[in-house]
Amino acid sequence: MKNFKSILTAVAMTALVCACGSSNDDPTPAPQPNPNPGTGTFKGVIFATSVTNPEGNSGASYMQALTDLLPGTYDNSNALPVGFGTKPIATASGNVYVLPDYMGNTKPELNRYQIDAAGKWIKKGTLLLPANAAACNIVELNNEKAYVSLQGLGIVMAFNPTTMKKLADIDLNDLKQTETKVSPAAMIVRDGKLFVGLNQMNAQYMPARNNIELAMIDTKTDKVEKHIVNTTLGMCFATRPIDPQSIFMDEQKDIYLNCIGSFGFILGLNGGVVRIKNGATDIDPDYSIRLDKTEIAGLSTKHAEFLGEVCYAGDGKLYAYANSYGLDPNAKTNPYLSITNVPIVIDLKEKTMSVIKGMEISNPHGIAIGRHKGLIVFGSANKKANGFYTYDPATKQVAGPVMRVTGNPCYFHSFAK
Amino acid sequence: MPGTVRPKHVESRETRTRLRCSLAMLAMLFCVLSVVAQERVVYGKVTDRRTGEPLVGATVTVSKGQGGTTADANGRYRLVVQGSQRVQLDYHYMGYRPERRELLVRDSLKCDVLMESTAKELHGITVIARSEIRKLRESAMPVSVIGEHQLQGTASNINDVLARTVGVTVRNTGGMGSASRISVRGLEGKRMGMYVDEAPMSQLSNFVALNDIPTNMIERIEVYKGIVPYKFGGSALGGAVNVVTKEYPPVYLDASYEVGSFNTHQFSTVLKRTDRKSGLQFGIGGVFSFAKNNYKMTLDNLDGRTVERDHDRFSKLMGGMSLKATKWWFDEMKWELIGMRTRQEIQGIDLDVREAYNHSVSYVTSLKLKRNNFFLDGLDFDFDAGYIIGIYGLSDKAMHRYDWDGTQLPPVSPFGGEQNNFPSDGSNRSNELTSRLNMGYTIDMHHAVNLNIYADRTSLHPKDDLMDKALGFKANFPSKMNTVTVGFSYDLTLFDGRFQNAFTLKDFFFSSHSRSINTYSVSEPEPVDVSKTYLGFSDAMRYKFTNDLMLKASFNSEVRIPTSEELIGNGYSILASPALKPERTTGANLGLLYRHVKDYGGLLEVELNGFYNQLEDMIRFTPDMIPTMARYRNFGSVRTKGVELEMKGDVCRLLYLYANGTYQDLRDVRKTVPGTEVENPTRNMRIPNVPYLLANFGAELHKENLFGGSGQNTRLLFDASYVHQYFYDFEMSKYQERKIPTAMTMDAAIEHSFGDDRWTLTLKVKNLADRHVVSEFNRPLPGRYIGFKLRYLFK
Repeated sequence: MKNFKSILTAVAMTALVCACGSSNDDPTPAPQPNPNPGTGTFKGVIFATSVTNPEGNSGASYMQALTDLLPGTYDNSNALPVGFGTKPIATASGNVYVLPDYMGNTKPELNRYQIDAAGKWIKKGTLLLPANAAACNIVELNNEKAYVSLQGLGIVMAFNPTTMKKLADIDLNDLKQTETKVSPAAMIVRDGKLFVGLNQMNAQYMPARNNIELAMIDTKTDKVEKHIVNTTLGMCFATRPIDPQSIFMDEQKDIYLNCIGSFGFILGLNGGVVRIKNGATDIDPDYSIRLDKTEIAGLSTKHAEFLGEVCYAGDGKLYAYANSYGLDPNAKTNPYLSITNVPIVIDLKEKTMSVIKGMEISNPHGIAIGRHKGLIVFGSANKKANGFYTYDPATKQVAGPVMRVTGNPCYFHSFAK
Repeated sequence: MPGTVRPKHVESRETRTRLRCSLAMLAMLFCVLSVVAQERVVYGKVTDRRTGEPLVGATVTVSKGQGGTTADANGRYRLVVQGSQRVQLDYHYMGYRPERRELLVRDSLKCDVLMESTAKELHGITVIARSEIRKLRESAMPVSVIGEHQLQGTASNINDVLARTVGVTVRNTGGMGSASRISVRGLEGKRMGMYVDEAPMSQLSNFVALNDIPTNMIERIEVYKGIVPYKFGGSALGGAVNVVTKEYPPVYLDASYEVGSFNTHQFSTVLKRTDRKSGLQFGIGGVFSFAKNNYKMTLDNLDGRTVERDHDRFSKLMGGMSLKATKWWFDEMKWELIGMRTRQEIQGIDLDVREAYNHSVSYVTSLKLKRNNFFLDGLDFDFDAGYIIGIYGLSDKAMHRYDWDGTQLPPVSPFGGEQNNFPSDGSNRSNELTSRLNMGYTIDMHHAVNLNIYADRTSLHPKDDLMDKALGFKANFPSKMNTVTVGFSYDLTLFDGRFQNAFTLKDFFFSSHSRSINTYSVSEPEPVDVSKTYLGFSDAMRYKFTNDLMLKASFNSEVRIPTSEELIGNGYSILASPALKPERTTGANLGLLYRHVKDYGGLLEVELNGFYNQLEDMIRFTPDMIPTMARYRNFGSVRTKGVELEMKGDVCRLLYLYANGTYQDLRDVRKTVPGTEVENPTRNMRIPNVPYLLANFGAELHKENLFGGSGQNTRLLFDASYVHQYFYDFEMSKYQERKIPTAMTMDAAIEHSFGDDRWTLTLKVKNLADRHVVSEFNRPLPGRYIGFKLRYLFK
């Protein structure tokens, strides 16, 4: 029976995500970089790959840093092992957080790293987390306060990122629906309020109804101020827990959420994009992009079930991997081999979606998206290669794989301005 | 005296009561039987070395004028020896070179003798020989044999002994009763065949493991590597472990009780009584095992703190009876009935599990029929049939979870549970009917053929209403599965028996029927029907250069039929995989064996084996797209290369030493990621989480009447085991830390028997150095174990 503990990896691995967004475009109040004389400021890129064990339901992920997006072939021999089923989280302050395995079986600790100018990893501290916490997302409020969401326990833990000491537990279990447990997912801070996407999951890790729910927490008191619930837009599962960018703000400080729905498994429980307008604390009832109602231009199956990965690039453009099971007849019975994730671009203003021509369709492991010097970088594990491709929004040119990697390219982040 | 035996760790009233009951049972048995005199029986068969013909009337005499006997019409003889002693037996037959055997008779034992003719072979004579010829043929298989003496001493169970066998690894998750997996040359679990007296354990192994068989009942254990002997049947392809139980003298009582650290108690008893006139043997026996397993463990994942295991209590009660007839037309007709009850708490590691436990009740009945010269001279008939019914499940209904600080946490679902993502209150039922028919016909001394048919029918009836409630739909469905394996073998013997070859062709057939929910979009379960057939073959040969030196070679290309769980799921959490293909293995073994018996009966044996194996369509457990569900898939290809070296022997009359080492290199040989042109990132990498370098060493110092007196024997035993560290994941990064560290463990024991082996006292210490050992990642094993065992043997 212990094998069943591994089922959560199915969720974790169907649409692995990445952090993206350069700090200069992120309107989230950012803490100041931790000065660290002698280390210099890292201006390069970091990426991670995942490699499964023979059983397929466990494995390891590896993270490494390069001083630039340097073409070449990279193995994992010099890479740092990081939690499987989760991915590193890089923040605007220059911190890189490494989470434990999503499914447990590793030390339940959160490690904070910084990188020197040469790309060397420097461990800055460790925070011990509760066992079976399934930590998934981190946001920094400032140098002295950050939050980590613990999916497995229904708790958001506040901690000091400088000292890596726990400050408080914010218990959200009272917000659970009757037939589900509540799991805090991706988070964002706006105007001193922490917005926490809530996944209401039953025993099958599935939502039970079309509710989009968030908890709004006052960062001064660490108390839940509001339980935000929308039942009119016909979507659910607010934010993807291991995709920090599944909740983001645009230039107008409007918050957008990527709702996962039921991962396309249950008819009627839908995914898509919704928003909370600047100044409001409720979900905008007049704005949504429902995936079951919105065709993706250039996609043979017309519709996707959910967005496995998103990355906001400014000016209303959201880049994403859209999952469409119809692209692979065996997709639902073989999650590890299905090639069903299509790179797309979403126009949030026009509420339109279209396939990026020339980009390969990937398996669910290799769906990193990031930004680097005006380019959109897609990690892709497709039928031809595993590596990172670039897309130039200005010329609409696709190149790659620029970097070939060992394993599934599941994470990419650039510190370059 | 039994009353003087006091456990060191007796603390609770419950434990004291249990101990008193056990001792009372022992005392009663001793009172009843202590007045009967002790006899040992030496029995066997005298045959022509070349032809296998029984030597009717051969004389067998015991040294020092202690009597003798003559072989009967079948060449069989039987001698009674008073008390435990070393005896010298002389065998004489006109026209044959005399033979002498020096035996240490502490227990009844079998001694077959092959005599060599001094006359020249008569031309044109054809002799039918059966068992001896066949026995020799089977020795072409790569096999390690563990004798009765190795089963005593420091060992408490079969797994302890297997773990010291060359090429074998036993990996446990905890103390007594914990899950363990045995692997031979790196292939483990379902690929291994488990047999008791050549009958497959099959579904029975869900309820009783080989480890549950009391070592006192075992004559020897045979570990076959790569090729499974054709007589065993079934479709194991990694190898096989065959436990051979004892043949009993007319009156036999064996009772033992062991008390040890971590509140461990083991009591087992066997009583056999044979009526000489009718030839009926009646047997009854039972085993009771209990352990709290409350050893201290270090939580490496949790700030390295040390805690006492507090929810790992294990209890098993097993009782059985048997009736064997040897004069009812069949040479042997045996019926057995066994009942078992197990309850095992689940020990948490990451969290402090407080309520969940597994439970099972099962009943087994079996019938065995054997007859040589079955309607035809030279035709041997061997038939087994068994029926097993089991009720089992997981009870996991707690409404709270706790961490190791005592902090209360919500359950895994609104309906409770400490594990997985849903609660359980399982009461699943399984029924299984197995049968095996083996017909062997020896045509002449050069040729023999054998037909083996193994059939199995399993039905599963899962029931877990609480789980269904938590999932929100009915997820439990009954299933059925049938398998039939037919093996046809041809044996060839040439050059006066120096060359032997056994070729086996097998046909594997299986069919199943079940229902399964494959996706959320399907509200009604879909029927799953499968029916498939496959072919496989194996060949094993040996050549004897001299009486002491032998070359063995074998080659096989076989399949392993998926188990019912792999093919049709378990009806609730594991989905059906009707497209699943059997695993196919192609392997070869080349071995050199030197075996020399010294003048005084001591043994020197050196064996070197090299092996190669390629496993295709490996069946692996993988989570499904439906969270909380999983299924088995064909995924991967593994190539194994390895070498084994084993040396053992009597250095002198007092000292026996053994040492062995295994290097097994399992590599992922998939070229590309399935369904793509992308190179497999783990190609040619070592398969993770499988040990690859292991070694064992042991010594036994034994002396009769060391402390004076008579009828006493003392043994000092020492065993050491080494397993080199191996990684939990594929070896990719120089910063990789997750690994199973090198383990070097030592066990020691002192054993003293007196009253001609009637009483045996053993003081054993396992993990002598109290090392922190794991064999499964993040599953700490017990520290130093001190146990005391008292055994009473009457025959």
